[in-house]
Amino acid sequence: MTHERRNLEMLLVAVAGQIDWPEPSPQLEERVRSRIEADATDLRRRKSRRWIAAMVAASTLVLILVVFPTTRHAIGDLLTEAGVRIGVIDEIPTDTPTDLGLGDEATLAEAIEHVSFTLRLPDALGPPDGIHRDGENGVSMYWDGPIVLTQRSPSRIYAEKRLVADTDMIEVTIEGGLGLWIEGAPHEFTLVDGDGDPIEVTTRLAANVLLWQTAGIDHRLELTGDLDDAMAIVDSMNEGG
Amino acid sequence: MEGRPLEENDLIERSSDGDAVAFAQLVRAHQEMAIRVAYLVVRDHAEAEDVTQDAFVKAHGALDRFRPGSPFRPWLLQIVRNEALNRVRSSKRRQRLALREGSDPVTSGAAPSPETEVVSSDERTRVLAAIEALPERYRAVLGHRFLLEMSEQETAVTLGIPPGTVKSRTARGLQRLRRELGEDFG
Repeated sequence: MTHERRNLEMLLVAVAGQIDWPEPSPQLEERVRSRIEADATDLRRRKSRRWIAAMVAASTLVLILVVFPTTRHAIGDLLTEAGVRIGVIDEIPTDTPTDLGLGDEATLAEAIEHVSFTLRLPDALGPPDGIHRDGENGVSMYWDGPIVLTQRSPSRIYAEKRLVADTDMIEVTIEGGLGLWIEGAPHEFTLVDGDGDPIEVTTRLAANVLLWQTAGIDHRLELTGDLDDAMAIVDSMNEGG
Repeated sequence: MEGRPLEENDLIERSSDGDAVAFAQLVRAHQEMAIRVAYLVVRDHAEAEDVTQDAFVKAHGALDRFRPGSPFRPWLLQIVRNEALNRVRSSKRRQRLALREGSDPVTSGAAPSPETEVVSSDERTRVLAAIEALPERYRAVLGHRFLLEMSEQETAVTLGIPPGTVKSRTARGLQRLRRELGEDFG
């Protein structure tokens, strides 16, 4: 029986040798390799496209905010003139900044010399606890609270503000013009140059912000208080010496 | 050991890291068996080539699911067979296995091997017809075990069934074949 079964198995193997099996073409290996390389390229392109799409989406948010609603249009003009661009991000980095990134410390006299415009001081806050040269033509003043007031002449440097979705933006009339009050969730503030490359990134985790422009000078007041507190500070601002 | 061919495991690892040249070496090593596995299912040379090509590309994409250290060939051949089955299911057509033209050792004048010596052209035709008449579960097992000369273990992985099932289907398939072919065939 074993001998007979072996014969049938040998017969099958013999038949296998006579089957018209296909031979792989000489191109098979190269075709597989080409497809794998093409797939890898496609994958890289898809990843690249996703990245570009994400960037475009972020840019679109900026454009929508600036262009479409009438009020947003006015705010957009204001912000553009003030060198501020707004974007929305999913979440703010959770690491608490230890440096507010306000620039080199200066005396009031040095600050006045540093800028080409007339620096203004808010009487309501008294003398600042710190004064900093902020960029080429800007000054930031700091009070414990914390409260930060920045005045800067528009230049090729833009401030790019990125907000989380639940941050409220309220348009306000301030010093006869349009301003923007940003409150609620924390936000990230980035200085970018004319090419959009970041110069400085500062995350402010607990501050509301009032943005406005007066006499061609950008103003930015950052504080933990509400809009009434901010307006009280603005109302107390006089021209500095 | 300069110039020594890379071990298969090295080729698999390099292929997983995106080395298309390394994977091309795996293709070269296994393409002959792969196209035969495909042909057993699709029964068409051109389609078997297409299936093999697609299967290799899919295998490359699935390398991250390959268990390092396990046998590569049956893993690959299972992908080939599945790809071939998908083609057949979609085309719903089926051809027969074909013998090579001039394959009769008596009429071709070639020196017969010990196996072919005792098998005439008529007998080969009868055997092939008997294999074709078997239910698919037996035909697949006998095809891989004897036409492709795979081990029980490799057949099990390629067909996706337990080795014990391969063993039992082999026995029953041979039994049916023997019954079909009559007493002339042991």
